[in-house]
Amino acid sequence: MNFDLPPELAAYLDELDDFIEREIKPLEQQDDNIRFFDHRREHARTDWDNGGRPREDWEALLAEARRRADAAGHYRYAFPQTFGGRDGTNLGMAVIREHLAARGLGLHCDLQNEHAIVANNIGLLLMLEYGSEEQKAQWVEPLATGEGFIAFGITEPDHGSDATHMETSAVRDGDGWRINGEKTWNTGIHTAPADLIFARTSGKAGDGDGITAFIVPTDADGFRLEELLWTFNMPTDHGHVTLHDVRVPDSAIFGGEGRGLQVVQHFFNENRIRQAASSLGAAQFCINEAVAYARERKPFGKPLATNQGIQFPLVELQTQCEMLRALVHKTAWMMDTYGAFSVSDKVSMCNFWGNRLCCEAADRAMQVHGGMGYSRHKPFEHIYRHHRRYRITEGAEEIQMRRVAGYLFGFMKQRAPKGVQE
Amino acid sequence: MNFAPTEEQALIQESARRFATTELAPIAGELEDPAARPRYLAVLKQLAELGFMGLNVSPQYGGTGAGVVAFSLAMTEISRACASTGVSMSVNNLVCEVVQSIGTEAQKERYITRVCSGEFPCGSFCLSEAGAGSDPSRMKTRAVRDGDGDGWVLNGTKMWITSGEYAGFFVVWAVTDASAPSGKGISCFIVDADNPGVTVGRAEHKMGQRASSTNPVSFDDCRVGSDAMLGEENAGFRIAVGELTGGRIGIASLALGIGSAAIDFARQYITEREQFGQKIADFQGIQFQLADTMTELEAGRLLVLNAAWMKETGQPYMQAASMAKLYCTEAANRACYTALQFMGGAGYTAEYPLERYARDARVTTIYEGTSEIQRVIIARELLKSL
Repeated sequence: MNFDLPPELAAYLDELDDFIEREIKPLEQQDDNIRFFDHRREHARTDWDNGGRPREDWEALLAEARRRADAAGHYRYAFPQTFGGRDGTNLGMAVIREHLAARGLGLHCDLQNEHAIVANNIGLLLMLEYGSEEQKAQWVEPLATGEGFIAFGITEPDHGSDATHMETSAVRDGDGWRINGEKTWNTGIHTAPADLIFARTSGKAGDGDGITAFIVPTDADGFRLEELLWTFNMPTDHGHVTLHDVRVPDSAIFGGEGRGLQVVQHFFNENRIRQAASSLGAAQFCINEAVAYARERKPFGKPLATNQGIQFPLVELQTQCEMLRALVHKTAWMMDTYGAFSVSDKVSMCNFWGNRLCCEAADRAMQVHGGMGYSRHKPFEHIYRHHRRYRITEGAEEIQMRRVAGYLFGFMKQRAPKGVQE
Repeated sequence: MNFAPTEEQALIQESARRFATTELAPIAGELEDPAARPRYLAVLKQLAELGFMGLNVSPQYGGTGAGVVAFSLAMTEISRACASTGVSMSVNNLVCEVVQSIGTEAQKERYITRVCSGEFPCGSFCLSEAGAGSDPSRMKTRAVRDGDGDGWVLNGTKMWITSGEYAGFFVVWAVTDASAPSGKGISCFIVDADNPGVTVGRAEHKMGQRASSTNPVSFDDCRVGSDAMLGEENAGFRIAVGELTGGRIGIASLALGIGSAAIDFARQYITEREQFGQKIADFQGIQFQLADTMTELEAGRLLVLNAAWMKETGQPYMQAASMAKLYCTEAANRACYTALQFMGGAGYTAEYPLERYARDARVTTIYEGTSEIQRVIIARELLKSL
């Protein structure tokens, strides 16, 4: 047993901190860019009169930060070396994402936009794993730089957790396919050139097989962005789209005909552990801030921190953080050692526990900070709102627990979640 | 809205409190010894004399006729001193109410009066079986018509029978129509304890509520007359799920008594115990737990009194009773845990009543419908109106 982080990973965190101080902080401070992070953040980021979507200057700033990170060799950390990456591991990504989130709000890591100086580019990983040669030739480079993006269209208005019951269908039409249906919560769709649409091509509702993923250009005839759904945390890039007789060629199929659910499971598995690590980092940030504030704030002439009523709830939270950190590290390490699908139940445990913990930590930090905690001069309300979303997206808490229960009670196979071939 | 008890309710609560603190509390620990059974039966006799065995029963049959709220108030006071006594009292009140509600005039005269007067220390319900706990429709006990008469012959074994050893009679559920769908072929009978077909088995060794006995009861070719049937033939399951609802108010009130006794005892202790140069009551870590515990118990008190009031005023009260039972029993267990924690090692010893409170509280989330069953009922009630 050895619980030390690999030395090269520990050293890399220092390198990242150094890069942030040198190249990201100055950018964050210039031209009043801090408006995107201080009490004005929601207003500065949101184009209220344009459907509530992210403002262009905000996304341009994020793109500039990504460009700097890529130039410095950090952005592609998780990618294979042949694509300019560092062959980053799941453990490495978990540790880095926790570290970045634990630094608090800033241009180095903005979870609301799934932005960070070290990319969480699941789209690229999926492309390398499942893309055809033709698809890779078109998509790998733009995905690697972060300039291209493929939105993810699986959820439907009437089918969220029960995705296998989707109503969107694709039928053969000459040498291609004709897709009809409706998708919602397609994140990033406002700028994405393509949407990965999941449609049933065979089998019946509930089957794991028979769902096919298609890369559909968002400017295709019959493809329409109906609205961006306004949410707890604004701006919104979560689109509701409709597809009426959208025609795509056979070459649009991604991951094999009828094998789409495997792509979904892969996406969720890798993303859920990273989401958990981000939530853990954000929770730790909230605790750290609350502890620091409690030591300096002196109501009734003595530090707030001397009250057990303040201490004990933070003790409970810190204890949960320590336990979760151990489980996140172990789970990520197991994914690296035994394969992405080897520990799906633990991934789910990390995920629902981490997201819930972060909401509790943000809530407690708000309470310890009193009125200031409730104000937007502190980041807790933003953190709470964002991580509240994580308790629902990428598998609601209940779906995570359902998966754990599935393995615990023997209803599901550990190595092969629904739709995945061993 | 009026949260004040009536004069009668206040009088009953006061007399229960006086009896509990002066007569019952000093001996409650000793009553746990099986050898103290005669003393326990004497306590039950005193309760009957106080009119506590039929608080919601008509004076026509020897009851007090004081209502359900008075019953709840008295239950809590008695159970603060001794939960075993509380459970006997709760079951007795319910047995009398069920017989009053669906029994024949002869059954009322014969059974209710003798429980209320103390002639019978207790009546008992025989519902659960080894394979039928939360799901009584799975019961195996059978009653078939007596070949040479108009009576019935019962065969089967019941489990967890409160007061089995000293009950004067048993209210027994048995399958009378095995071909009927689940729950539709069960009937209810009253069987005298001295019936030669009745065998009361060895008392269970229990974690808590030890002064009151809990036994298996077997019926072997147990013959009863046709007048032994309680309520209508094949309507027994409805009686079990309907008439017994009132028992949940009793157990909620009982749990509230245990939890309150525990935290009150510990509250006194923390104002005396000093550590790190100050009373431990001066630590916020203690204060806030005390505040949370008292808040929960007070919320439970309002829930159970509300359920009692709804029953007393003839409103549907199944959901309210289940909420009260669920919340009060869970809160009482938390209160005991917290109170024992306040007292540290001292609380863990038999020198103080805390360990008995903690033991006595544990079963309250299990009997009279587990917490899980209460949630099932609450959810069903909430969804059926949609």
